[in-house]
Amino acid sequence: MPEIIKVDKVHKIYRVGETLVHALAGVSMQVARGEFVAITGPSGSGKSTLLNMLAGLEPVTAGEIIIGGQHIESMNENELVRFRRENIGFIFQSYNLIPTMTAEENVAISLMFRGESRSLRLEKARKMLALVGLSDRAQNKPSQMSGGQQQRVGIARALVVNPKIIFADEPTGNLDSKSGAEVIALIKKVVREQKQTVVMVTHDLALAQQADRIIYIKDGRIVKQETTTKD
Amino acid sequence: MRFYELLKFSAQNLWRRKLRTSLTLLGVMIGTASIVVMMSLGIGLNYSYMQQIEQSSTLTLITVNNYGGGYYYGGGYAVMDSSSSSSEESVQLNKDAVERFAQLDHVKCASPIYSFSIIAQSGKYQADLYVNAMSYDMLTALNLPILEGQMPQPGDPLALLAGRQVAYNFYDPKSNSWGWNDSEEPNVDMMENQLFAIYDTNAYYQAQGGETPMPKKYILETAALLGVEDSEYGWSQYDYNVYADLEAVEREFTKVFKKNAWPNQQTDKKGKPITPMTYNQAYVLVDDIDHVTEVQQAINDMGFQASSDLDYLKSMQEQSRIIQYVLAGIGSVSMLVAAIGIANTMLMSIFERTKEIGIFKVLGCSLGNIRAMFLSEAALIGFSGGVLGIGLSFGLSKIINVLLNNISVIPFWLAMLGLGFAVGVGMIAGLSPAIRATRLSPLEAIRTL
Ligand SMILES: Nc1ncnc2c1ncn2[C@@H]1O[C@H](COP(=O)(O)OP(=O)(O)OP(=O)(O)O)[C@@H](O)[C@H]1O
Ligand SMILES: [Mg+2]
Repeated sequence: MPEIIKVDKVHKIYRVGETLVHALAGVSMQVARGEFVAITGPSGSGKSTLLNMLAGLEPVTAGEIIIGGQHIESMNENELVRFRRENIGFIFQSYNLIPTMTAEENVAISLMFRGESRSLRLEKARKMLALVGLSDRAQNKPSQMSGGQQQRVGIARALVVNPKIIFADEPTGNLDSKSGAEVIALIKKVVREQKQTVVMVTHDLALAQQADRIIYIKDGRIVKQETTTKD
Repeated sequence: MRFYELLKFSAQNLWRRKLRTSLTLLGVMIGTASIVVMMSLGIGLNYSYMQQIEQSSTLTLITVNNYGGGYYYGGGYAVMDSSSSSSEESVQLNKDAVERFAQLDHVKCASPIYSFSIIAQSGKYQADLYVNAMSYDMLTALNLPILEGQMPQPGDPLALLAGRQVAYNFYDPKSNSWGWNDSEEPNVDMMENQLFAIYDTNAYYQAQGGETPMPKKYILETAALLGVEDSEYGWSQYDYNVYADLEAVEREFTKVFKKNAWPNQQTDKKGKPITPMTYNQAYVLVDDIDHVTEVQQAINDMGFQASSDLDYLKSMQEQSRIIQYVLAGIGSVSMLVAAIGIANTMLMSIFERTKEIGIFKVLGCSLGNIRAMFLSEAALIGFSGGVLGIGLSFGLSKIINVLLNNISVIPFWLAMLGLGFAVGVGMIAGLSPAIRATRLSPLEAIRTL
């Protein structure tokens, strides 16, 4: 299977005053196109750090990250923004919707940066909201929606641009286990249809079982990888 | 992002913060209005100087004098010296010299001014009149403001063009009183009453002793009365002067004086008149106000003394320019305060929107777009504030003009300048906040609350 993400001996060192924090200590891994990978591990193990570096949100201290054939560790800020715009959808743990905009405007905004016309944008946004089951909340502001609904808007925003890869950092962290499971099922459903690749961070092992493969991280190192058994 | 969407997005962002936006707009509006109104006062001042001078004279008219001391040594002008050698050529303001003025570039018309006194009589009243005779072309070119009557045509017998105030010169020599009070009309109506002129005034004064005969009187017509109808700045020079056609004067004087010297004509030791006649003054009319200085210089280089009201206007304008700078400076201070207001608003808006900017970056909004968003917001504040400020300026200018006699003038270019200035100030004030916004790291930005 051709890999879309290739991580090679990546290190990340944070300097806090005098002390150095080795958040990642030589991580190497690969993700195949269309694969759904879950990253799990204890708190502070470096899961978010790894995901942020894959999305080009944080610079790499050492090592290589190649996504779709492009070295992202050597890109400048402008190139990274373009790279994200063309390849990546990002789902945040804390939703990060724009509070002054309605659900459909929030979804449409990522299309605006691509220069699409307003009518096309809103049409696509409404379709995507229908897909995540929020047709009747299109005109609601984030403050007028539940956490699960806001997260679904966040998912719609990440998916509406039809990205090659979706990164999700604890997308169910703020949800109860039932709506968490619903959100994961939703991601899986949409992604299967579009043959997209998903990398998701979670420390809920039950949810991680929904992925094709689970990567275990501890103290900035990959300690175990396992392919889930499907029934 | 498309430009139009960028503007719309910026406008929406401003609309979301109505109160702060309107306060900032108010600042820009006051700043723009104070600059524009201050400058309009300076411009108004300039306009009124211009009008004042235009009303009382012709700005393209050069007066040439020859004070009798001018000598010409191939380029330089020297003070008369009794031991001057024969290689020096004395400059004479005669018809030849005037002909040379007429040959200069940009000169429309040139004429000598032959000035002389006459004694005019009407019934028991009498007046000493000082007549300025010049060519018919110059008389027409000067565009004399005729109130009553008509310009005499070339070939017509000698007739006067008299200012409407000239009639007040007539007095009764017997009672030696002026015969009129301030409130009264003059005793002579120059257009209606028949005038007689004594041209040989020397003979007239000698005859007062009773030993020599009285010189002959001649019939003299007044062809027109001159004056500026309702001159805003008092009477013009035309109201007091007497003009005549030089050719008509020459024909008349040839008859009157025969071989004798004319009034103000120089004579040699034997008392014979020296020809050609020299004049004290000449007028040179230039085609355009822009060429006056150049022609003036050329005439000065010939050894004459040329002057024009443009010199006076220039010094007035120089003064008003200084006043304009001061006024604009005062206006700029309030614009500076407005600029600080814009910068502050944009900085606040960036602090408030740090998280939003971070999210935009994660979603793939380019740095250029982010910069453009903040810049166009600042420019939009500048533009709207500028438009409101121009509106306010026109209103203020109206009020000032009602209260203070038309002193504020806002030409179109000034309004556009004010608007451009407001937009420019807005963008400069927004520049550093905009750059700051692009520098934020997306992750750190998202983590802020
Ligand atoms: N900006 C930073 N500056 C300094 N140290 C950091 C920074 N971000 C993360 N770290 C450190 O790096 C290590 C890994 O952090 P990371 O956020 O990746 O953990 P995580 O696995 O996502 O934990 P959690 O499950 O709690 O989210 C931690 O020890 C953390 O303290
Ligand atoms: Mg984390």
